[in-house]
Amino acid sequence: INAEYMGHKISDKVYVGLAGLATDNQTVYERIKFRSSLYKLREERDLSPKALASMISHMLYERRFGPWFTEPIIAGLDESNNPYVCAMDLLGADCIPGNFVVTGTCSESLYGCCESFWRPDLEPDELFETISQALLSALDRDCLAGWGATVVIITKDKSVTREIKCRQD
Amino acid sequence: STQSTWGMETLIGIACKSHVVLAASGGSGHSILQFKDDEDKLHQIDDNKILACAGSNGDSVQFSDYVARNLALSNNRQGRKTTGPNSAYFIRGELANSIRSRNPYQVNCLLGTFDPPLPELKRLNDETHQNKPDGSGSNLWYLDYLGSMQKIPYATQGYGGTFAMAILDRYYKEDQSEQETLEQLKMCIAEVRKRIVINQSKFIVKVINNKGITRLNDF
Repeated sequence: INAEYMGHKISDKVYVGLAGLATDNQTVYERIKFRSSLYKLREERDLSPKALASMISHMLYERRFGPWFTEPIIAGLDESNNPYVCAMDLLGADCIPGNFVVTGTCSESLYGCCESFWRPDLEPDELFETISQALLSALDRDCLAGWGATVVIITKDKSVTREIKCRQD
Repeated sequence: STQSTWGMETLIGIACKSHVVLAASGGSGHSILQFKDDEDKLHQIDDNKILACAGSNGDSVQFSDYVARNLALSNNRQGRKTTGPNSAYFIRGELANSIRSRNPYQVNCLLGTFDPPLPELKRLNDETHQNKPDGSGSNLWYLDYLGSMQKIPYATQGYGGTFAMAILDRYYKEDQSEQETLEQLKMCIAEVRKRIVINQSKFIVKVINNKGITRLNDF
């Protein structure tokens, strides 16, 4: 229906991505936004990615016997600007591998692509190239995923959002 | 779904800079019998908003009435008219709650609005002599029965919608005139009539622009 996805921004340094049933993606994102705004008002600081992951994990497990059909990933820099990525299943079981996380319809392909392309200690520009190539390779082989791609690179000074051109089928 | 004609009702919505056009097939019936061919599925929930509902007969009327009354209540409480995005997110919330309830609303919707500028943003623009977005303009949202919502320039619901979407992909331009939009709509409806096996009867068409909502002659 639509080719626009917002890599959901929670703060300058923390982004969340949701894959799964569209209606639940939107509902869960609205709830996350609500909780993180409330946190920001109360604590007068942004949520760290670790705290956000914990919060989302609880939010999903609350619905253990009627879950939200959505599998989030959380990516960001913590207070000391160390990178943090976390993936969760629909019940909130989290996984913090340290290198990369994937989710979505072509997650198996993405695992393969990321495993091949990722190296430790990449610069922001190199990382952009790496992630774009991995994403595009997996997307092109998946009939359900595609129709455009958005990449967000989060560094300690800023976060840059870029749209990549890809096959429109 | 208890509705055996799920998908047989076509809705088409086209939003351009100066207007929003919504069309709905007029057929209303049960199984092989058609009760009416001029059922108006374009419910006016406010004087600048139309909620087109397709799906279960009873649900579409019940749901649009429910939304209209809640918006009226919200207008009274807030002391001003609900904005387009406000109403869209409200409707999405209701559909998302409904899908996990005991008896979900089985309606697929299109919401078209033409909003006046928000007073505070308009005043800000006037005072600073700028032309920033002030919340005014045309909007169209696609809402399905699960509660997924997308804000898009043109949208359809139903089996006939697939064909209409293809035509709009080819011809739609954001700044086209009302005349051009109605020409495209005619093309879409002709294609739907040609390709969908069920008789699509009349199409009720309404336009929302800065003058308000106007019902045009049925296509």
